[in-house]
Amino acid sequence: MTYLVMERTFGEPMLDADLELMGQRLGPCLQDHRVEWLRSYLSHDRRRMICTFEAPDAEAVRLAYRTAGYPFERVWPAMVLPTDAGLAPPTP
Amino acid sequence: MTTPDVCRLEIRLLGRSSVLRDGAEMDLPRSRKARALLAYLVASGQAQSREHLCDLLWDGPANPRAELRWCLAKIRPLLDDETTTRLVTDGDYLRFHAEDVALDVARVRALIPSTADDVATDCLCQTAELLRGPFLEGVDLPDCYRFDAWCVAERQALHQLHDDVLRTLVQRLKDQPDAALPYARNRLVLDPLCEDAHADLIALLHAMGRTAEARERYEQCRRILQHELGLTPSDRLEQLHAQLTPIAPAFATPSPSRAPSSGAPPLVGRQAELACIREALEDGTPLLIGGDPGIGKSRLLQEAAARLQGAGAEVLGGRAFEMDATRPYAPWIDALRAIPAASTTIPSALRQELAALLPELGPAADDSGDRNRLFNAVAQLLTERSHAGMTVVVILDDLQWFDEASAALLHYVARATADAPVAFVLAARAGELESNPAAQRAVHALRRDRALRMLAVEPLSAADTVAVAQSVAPQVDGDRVFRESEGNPLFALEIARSHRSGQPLLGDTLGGLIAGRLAGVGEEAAALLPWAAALGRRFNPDRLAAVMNLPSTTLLHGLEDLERHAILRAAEDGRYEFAHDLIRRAAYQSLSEPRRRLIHLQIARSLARGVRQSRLWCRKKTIHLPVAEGQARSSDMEESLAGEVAYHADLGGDHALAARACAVAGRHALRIHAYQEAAALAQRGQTHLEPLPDETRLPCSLELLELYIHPGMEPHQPPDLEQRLRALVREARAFGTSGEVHDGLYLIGVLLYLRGRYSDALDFTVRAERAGRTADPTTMVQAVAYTARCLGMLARDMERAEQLAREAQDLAEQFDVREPGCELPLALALVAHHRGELQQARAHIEHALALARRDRMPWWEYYCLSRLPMIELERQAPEDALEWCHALQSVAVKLGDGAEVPFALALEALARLQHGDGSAAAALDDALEQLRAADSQWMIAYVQSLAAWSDWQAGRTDAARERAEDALHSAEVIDQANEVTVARALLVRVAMTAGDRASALTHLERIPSEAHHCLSARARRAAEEAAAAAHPAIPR
Repeated sequence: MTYLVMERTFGEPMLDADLELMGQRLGPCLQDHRVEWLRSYLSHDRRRMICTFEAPDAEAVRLAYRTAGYPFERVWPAMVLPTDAGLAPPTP
Repeated sequence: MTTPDVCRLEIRLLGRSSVLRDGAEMDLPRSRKARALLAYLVASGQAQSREHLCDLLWDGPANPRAELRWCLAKIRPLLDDETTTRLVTDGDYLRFHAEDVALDVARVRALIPSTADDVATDCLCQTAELLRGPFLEGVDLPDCYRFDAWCVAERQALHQLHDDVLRTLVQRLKDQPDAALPYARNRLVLDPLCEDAHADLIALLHAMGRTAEARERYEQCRRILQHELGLTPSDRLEQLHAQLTPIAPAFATPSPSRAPSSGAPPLVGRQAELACIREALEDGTPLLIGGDPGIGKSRLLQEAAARLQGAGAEVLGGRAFEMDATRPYAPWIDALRAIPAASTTIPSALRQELAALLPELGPAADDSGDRNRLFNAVAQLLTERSHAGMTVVVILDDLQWFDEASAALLHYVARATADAPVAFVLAARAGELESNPAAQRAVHALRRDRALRMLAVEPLSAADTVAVAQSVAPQVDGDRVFRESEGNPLFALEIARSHRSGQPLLGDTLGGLIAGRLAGVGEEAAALLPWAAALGRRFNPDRLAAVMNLPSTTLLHGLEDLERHAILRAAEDGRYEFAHDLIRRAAYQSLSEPRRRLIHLQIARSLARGVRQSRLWCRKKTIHLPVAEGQARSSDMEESLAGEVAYHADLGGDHALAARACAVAGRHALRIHAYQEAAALAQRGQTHLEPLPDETRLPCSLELLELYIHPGMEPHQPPDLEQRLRALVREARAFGTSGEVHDGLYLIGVLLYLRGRYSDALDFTVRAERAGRTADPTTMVQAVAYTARCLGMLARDMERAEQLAREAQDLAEQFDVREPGCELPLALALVAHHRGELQQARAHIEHALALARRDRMPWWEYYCLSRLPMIELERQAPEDALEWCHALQSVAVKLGDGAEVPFALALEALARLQHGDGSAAAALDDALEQLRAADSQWMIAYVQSLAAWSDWQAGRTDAARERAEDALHSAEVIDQANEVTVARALLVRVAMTAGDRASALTHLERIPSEAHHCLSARARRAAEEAAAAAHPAIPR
């Protein structure tokens, strides 16, 4: 499995209700594409978001978002940097 | 008796009844009789016989004792708990024990044992807090006359007590006007006709230095007294007024009245402002004109429009009115109707979309939930008109009253026409934009995207003010006019008109002057004024005649008189409008609350007769019956009235009509993509449900909640929507109304479907079907096709995908559902492709592609388009594939970052390779590098398999092996059985060619077993051919 990062921006600040709804809609699509959601970060102005996933490939995340009807800026595979020991390869 | 700080049980009977346990509000029974029984037992505090209670509340049912038992069962859980039984039965008697209960009515009586005068001020303040509304508000049972008599008597006694408490508090606190003011205001709310209360409020405002407000209050009181009671103000009030106006306004002897012109007042000065408008138009930057009410913004826009039209520009003007939240897009509709001969000059390609706003253009496009299509059509229309060699100027007034949809459209159109000669001149009241977030967003966006300019209209100079006033009344004292009006031209004009007509001056505020002028019109005109004012700033005279039931001659005389007094003026389309909103407001405010209510009620009921014929009045709208075009158009016109019905019914207090009309207006708003308005209507409608009887309340509740179940409404959905629907289904079951049970289940099904919970959605739609009628066929077809398409794209459970696709197709045929979206043909295409029926797959894909284009779904357009070169490559038809590749690339580049562009490039390189162009290998490798960067393993596997096949056929065995191994690796990463099979089959062929039998055997053995996987025809064929190729050479 690969670590994946997805970037999104929103025209309007995301409300808690929007986030909840997004979660509800995306859940089954992510599952269908074998994407596991790890964590999300929302900017304080609620207009930018970074989500991290584990999935077979980046396309799985893109397809899940496309089929659920949610746009995104980009999805890219990533490696994880540990705190004090230089680069680390992505954990399988 | 001492009351603990926090009682376990608290019962409130003043205002909206409620029962709180440990501070948390509990649900009261829906039945009004159960609530009335609870209130009666609690408030009377005495033992009551069952017979008495039956007589009190049931006059007629066959078994009142059973009804009483049912109601008692409903209220016992509210009053009793595990440790205490408060509702005690003693033989045939029932009694409520209130010892440890905080009961607001009891507390009020304990605080005021006799009269308010004998009670300390802090106790009075506590009592005023407790008296938060009428006794048992909303629990009226006019048919149960014994209960009604008791309730009315209690209510009146408490009302009187409330008035005494507030009066005493105002008197005692008159030296602390800040503290007394809220009590004085509350007293006026209690009784708007109480002159004494008005006088107290005026005195307090004056003492606080808020003299202008005090004067307004005096004028309001004077009007109410005159209209409602036929009285003149008392001495006390007049004395107060004299204190407010130490210098009475005095003008020179008025000259004889003359009929003024009904046209626009002259424009005086404003040269700098006109120059600023000209500059903005020359620079192509939008302009926002701001200023106080009456400062002359609209007059400036009018002048600019006239000059622009004179110079040959096309001016499209519209304005918002305060009530336009009920009429989404109203300013834009007016602006677009300003296009000369719109019904013939608007290009036919845009008509279907624009018909949502202008029903006269013909049938509207289907509602797809995507309002960008409508917005795009408006932008395109303006761009096309501007390219026809004409400068197009959009002038929109009163931005502060824009509905959300109009503001969003403004933002979109301004951005989309940035490169075209389309100019925007806007106006808004200073300081009022802040209260309209949607309009404010549009202004911020215009600032950011198109460098919006701002122009603040300042008061006129002394000389210009005098010129304005003297244009109407040459004899008026100019200095005085300037001093009084402070350079506000509307104010100056009102002073001048008042002077000219010799009307008595009823106050020295703008509102007072206008009121004075309104008082000077003839009898017929005076009768029209309140109705016209309630209808809105701009109104249709036919409608006025209809709601007032007036003969046309009376109407015409009245209108002429109002026009002559420059109170009304003729607007476009044969309508009339108030010369200024402040004038309409003055006419409206002269009405007392009860009269306003009656007028709105009559307007609502009169308008509703027109709307009831609309097909939207019937909820099940999804199956369109064929109607003649003319009929369809007229019903579209009527639908837009529903918002007005809702507005008037709301103010008129007709709850049933208001709730229904909100639902109808909400559906209309959905059809024209005005989602925020639809959400506001759903919310407003729900506030009217409480007093309705269950048989009306249930279907109305469902209708209102249904508004939220629409793709465009997702941001507005209440978080507990599903739970609310489930609760309604439970209630409908309890009442035994199967229609509502079905509707509720069906709505839950659609909601789940929209949220992507397809299997749950199907379950609910099936249950809905069982509960009564057939579910909406379009939604059923889409729900099934959606699931089939998802499975098809995943290429896993293809048997189920096929089964569902066929089911969707059968349903579509059975119910004659035509082309609801690209899901069904795409699902059928994916199934046919899987089965290797390439011709059929291509036909379905082309169909799906056309629908994705129709619905402007770019990614789905790309997805469909990408399957076409794949099919052609699999058919070994590289020339056909190449043709599709070019179209695919142009769509892919619009989708931004991702794997779409490299996949399109890779397919093109594959087609060239298949065609024998060896130089395409480099392009293919470039595209593959990009696919690796985008991390799309399926695409890498697919592309490398096809490339390996070409290499193998061309005898490039090493290259073929390398590519097949790469394909295998990618396919295994994503566990994609079809591509794993194809890649291994290729490796078998390559190994056989190279004479490496051991490798061939290993790969053949590791080809996924057909028994465990639902392989595609392509993978099966590859596996069979590999087995056949290897078979004679492999010893058994």
